[in-house]
This record gives sequence, C-alpha cells and structure tokens, in this order.
Amino acid sequence: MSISATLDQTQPPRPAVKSRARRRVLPGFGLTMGATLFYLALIVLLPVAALILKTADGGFLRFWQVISSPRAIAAFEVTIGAALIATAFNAIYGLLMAWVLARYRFPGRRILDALIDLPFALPTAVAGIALTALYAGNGWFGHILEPAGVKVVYTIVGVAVAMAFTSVPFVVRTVQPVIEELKAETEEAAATLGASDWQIFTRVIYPAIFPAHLAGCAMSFARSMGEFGAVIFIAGNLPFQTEIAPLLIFIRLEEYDYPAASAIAVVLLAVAFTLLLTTNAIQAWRLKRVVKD
Amino acid sequence: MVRPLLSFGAYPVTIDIQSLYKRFGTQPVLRGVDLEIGDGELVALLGASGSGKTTLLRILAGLEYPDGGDVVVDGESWIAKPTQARKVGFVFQHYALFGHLTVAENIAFGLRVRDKKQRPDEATIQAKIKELLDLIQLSALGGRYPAQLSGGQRQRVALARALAIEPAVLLLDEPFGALDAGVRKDLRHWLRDLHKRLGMTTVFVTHDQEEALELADRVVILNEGRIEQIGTPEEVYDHPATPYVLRFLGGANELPGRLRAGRIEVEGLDTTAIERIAAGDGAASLFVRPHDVDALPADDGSASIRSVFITGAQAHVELTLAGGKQLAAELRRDVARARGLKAGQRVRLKAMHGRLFTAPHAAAASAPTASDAEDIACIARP
Repeated sequence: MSISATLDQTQPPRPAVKSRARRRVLPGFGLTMGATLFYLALIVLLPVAALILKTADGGFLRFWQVISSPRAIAAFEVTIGAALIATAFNAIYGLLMAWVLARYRFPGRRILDALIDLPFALPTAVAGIALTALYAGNGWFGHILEPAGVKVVYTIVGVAVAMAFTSVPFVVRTVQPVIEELKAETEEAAATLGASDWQIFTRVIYPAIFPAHLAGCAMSFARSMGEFGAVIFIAGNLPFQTEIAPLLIFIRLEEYDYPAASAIAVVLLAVAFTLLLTTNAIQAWRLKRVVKD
Repeated sequence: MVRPLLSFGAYPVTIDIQSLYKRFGTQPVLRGVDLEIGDGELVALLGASGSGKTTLLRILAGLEYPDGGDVVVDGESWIAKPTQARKVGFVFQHYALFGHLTVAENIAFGLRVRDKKQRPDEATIQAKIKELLDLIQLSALGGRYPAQLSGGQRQRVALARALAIEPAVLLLDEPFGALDAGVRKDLRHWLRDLHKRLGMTTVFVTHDQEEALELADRVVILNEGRIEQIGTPEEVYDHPATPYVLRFLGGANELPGRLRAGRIEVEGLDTTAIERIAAGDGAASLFVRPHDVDALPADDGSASIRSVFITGAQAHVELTLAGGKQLAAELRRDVARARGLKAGQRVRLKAMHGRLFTAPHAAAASAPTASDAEDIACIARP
C-alpha cells in the first residue's frame, strides 16, 4: 500500500487533456498498423500455427518417428546439402553480378539488369523443364558434360542447379543497392593510405556490403530449401538419392498422412526461421556499431 | 619536445607542377597550370567551383591523371607512380572514414595494409595510434566508431589517419567545408598550429577566401582551369593581378569610369585619392572595396543612402550614385552613428583606395559566377 502510494507521488502529473498529449504528427498510424497486424496474422501466423497444431496432433513420438525415418533424413540431407551448394554459388556469382551492374556502365546493362529478375518472374516449373532439357544427356549442356563424366540431371548437382537458378536474384537485389551507395571517396582514401586493390576490397568494400550480402545469402538459402517446381523436373526424385523434402511433404499429403507431412514441414520451417533469426541478429549487431549517418 | 614516432619534415619535399592539362569529356578543367611548391610550404588552392582546384589536388594524389604536363616531386616524376606508392596524406571534405572500423583502427589502417616486411610490429602501431590520438585531442575516443563522432572530430580522425603513414605531402580537399562555422574556425587554427609543428609540405583546396588568406603561406587563385595569381595573402589581397582576383578576394564595387591624364573619373565619386596610372585616356574600371569608401553627409551630395544595416562593429551602407549605379560602403558602426547616416540621406562619397583596370583588361575578365557572388556577399573584412 504505502509503496504504491510513494510510487504514485513520483509520477509526473497527468496532462489535463490526455488525447492532445498523445496526438501524433503523422496521421494514419492506427489504421495502417491495424491492417498490417491483421494481414500478418491472417496470411502468415495463422497457417504457421495451424501447421504446428497439426503436427502436435500426432504427438511427439509420431513426430520423431516421421522426421527420423531414413527416407526423411535422406530428403533433409539432399535438400539442405543442395541448398548449401546453391547458396555458395549464388554468394559468389550474385555478388559478382551485383558488382558489375552497380559499378560499370556498358551497353546492354539495362537488359542484363532486367534479366536478373527473370527467375522471379518465370514460373518455376518452366525453369525446371528448361533446365532439364539443357542438362539432359541430349541437351545443349548435357551432351558436352555427360561424356566428360559430369552428370547433372537426376543428381544432387541438378537439384543445386535448379535451386541456384531460382534464388540468385535474392543475392543480387540485396547487394546491388548497397554497392551503389558506397562512396568512391572511401576507396580513394584507402588507396592513398597504401592499400592495394585486393586490400581495398577485403578491408573496405566487403565489410560495408557484408550485412546485405549475408541477408541475401540467407534468403537465397531459405528459398532454395523450399524450391519445389524447378527442382522436381531435374532431380528425378529417387527416394534416398535425389528426393527433396518439399516433395516428400507432397507425397505424404497425397497419402492423406497429414501429421507426417506437417512434421517434415515443421522441420523446414524451423531451419529457415533459425537461419533468418541468426542473420538478423548478426546484422543488428553490426548495425548497432556502424550507424549510417 | 621529443617526437620519436612522427618524423615529418625529416626530408625536404618540393613539388613542381609543369603545364598540367586535363579535360573531362570535352570540358577542359585544367588549361596549363604551372606551380612550384617549396618544402614545408602551406599552399592554398583557391577558386570557385569548376575552377579546377580539386582536380589539381587529385592529380597530385594520383586519383586523377592529367592529359598533359608533369608533376615532379623531389626531382622524380609522379605521373606514372600509383597513388599507393606516392605516400600522400589525403583528407577529404566528407572525411571518408571507414565506418566499420573504430577510430583507432581507422588511424592504423595505413600501417596495417603494408606488406609484412614494412609493417611495424603491433607495439609500434599501438604507440603510434596513441600518439596520433593525443595529437588530435581525442585520446579517450579511440574505441568509438566514426558514426558516434561529431563532424569536427571525424575530420581530425581523418587527418590523423592521413598522418599515420608519415606522408611526404599532405593534401586537403576542402577540409572544413562540411563543418559548422564555429568548428571550422577552431579547426583552422588547430591545423595552422599543427603545420607549424610538423612543417610538412601541405596543399589545401578551398573556396573560402578568408580560410585561404588566414591559413596559407601562399595563395594560388584558380579560375576556369588557369592560375590567375600566385602570392602571399598580403600580395593577392593588396595587389590583385586581375579583376577576377579582386572580385573574388574581399569583393569590391566595380565602377565604370574614364581615364583622363592618368586619373580616373567616376561620376558622383571623389577619386582624388586614387593614384594616377600611366595609361592613355579612355574607358576604365575602378574597383573599390566597401571599407575603402567614405561617406560624409552633405545636402548637395551626389549619392543617396538606400539602407543601413549593422552587423556587430560594422555598419553596411548601401548607396545609389547619381548615375544610378549601386555601391556598398562599410564603416565602423560608431563612425556611422556619429555622422548620423540613415536611409534616404544624401552623402558625398570618396574612394580612399582602389584599383584601376583599363577597359580591355576589365572586359577580358569573366564575370564571377553566382557562387562567387555568394562568396563575396558573405565575407566582410574588417
């Protein structure tokens, strides 16, 4: 009693007209925030919650049985392994592409810039069929690669190729604006201090674009893990070899085994969520130190 | 004082700039610039935007390559030498600090990028960081990031970073341009003291004549890619070589008149105090700085006061001559008050000091650009 009374005394006197004190200069906060939260709940949180509930239906034992079955584990390995290969490729190639687009002016730059978004615009099934046709034994690439002993179609390499194709814009489009914003002066300063071109890149340029690059790679990885349409055509979908987790979810659904399907889905969700959370944390940690002015 | 780590001025550095030409596309920015800079000299490159001053500085640093001419430093041509090998300390207007590195790491950057053989050991680097932090009076802020510093502090860090490599030459591109007026003044004094102590050859670019006149041993006035005049601050201020220099430094009333027997005549202005010059009769222009105009109240005066406004100790008087020509005068405030100068009053005007340019010369000089006019308007010399 007495404590709360003392606390009350320390509080500042309330303004006579409460609503005036709370008035904001920018209008529309209530409406836009409400719409945003409603939308988020309806489109994102509700399905995710339903997924987790569905999984919980089967109980933990059932969940564990599903996700630890050899076929599921193999599917996770293929999916995550191929997504890692695809992301590693995109990390380098996407950075290069963003660099070329942001830094140089050359004929056809705008066309190239537009082409980057093609994987986003193209239906993934179309991409899958096109890639399969190219890399098949009688395709343009396949008839050169296969005699050389490199088999792409129906292997994890093929899975990675399809994943890389559909997710490379994530890296390019997150890194490109950051490179465009870099100030030439900073690099010139490094040069006057004696830094070689390579040192300028590794010590000045890359640290500046690292947070964006990391975010792009994380999104590319998350997208690769979930890629379905482009992959199933080129993968061959042999269980224990080239069957990806999203396909396994689809198969379980076809068998009306909803708890099994959602159990696999939850694992993919957890991996993607953990990854995005980690990269966000790394970014926040960096941004806290290096505030843009 | 013993300064074992900072060894500037240990070897003399002279810069010989020989007929530099540079164009961007079809736009010429340097049109034959010759300049010799002596060891330990503090030289200001002064000019309006587009005068080529920054390009000249960037060529010295190797950040830009000239189309013609040469830069010879201590007898060695620098044209083919890459920036990295020149050992210039370059300070940018907008600091160009490395945002992801702390203040201390920014300062150490130039030492850490050296190849193993030339890189000082960690203890030496740390000692140097400490010494430079002391020098820029930011000893406590070595662990901060540039984003956490004020503009003046950032510029000092940029300077320390440039000094860390013990540069042969210090080049500053509008080093105070992005700072508040008060900070700018402090930093200016600090830089001059620093230059006195370190004694290294320094070139800085500015569009602020006050800054150039106050800091530099010699001022180089550039206009449209050419040097208009080189001289000590006194020389260029007191004896401007061209109308452009006169307009640029201090600002002046430009009055058309006629030369008769070597004496200038301007309608409505007493010019008897102006020295005669050896030139034929004809049209000429008289340049009179506002503080060289004296105004005395007189009912039969040929000029009238349009307005009087006071800034601190100065009274700025705007006048209209009999011929309709506008003219500015600057008097001490107490003098103006004692004489009772106020708007609408008629006055008699006398030019106490001035500089004459005969017509062809005056016509050849290009009119100052809008930015020059702005510069002229904002300075008021005592």
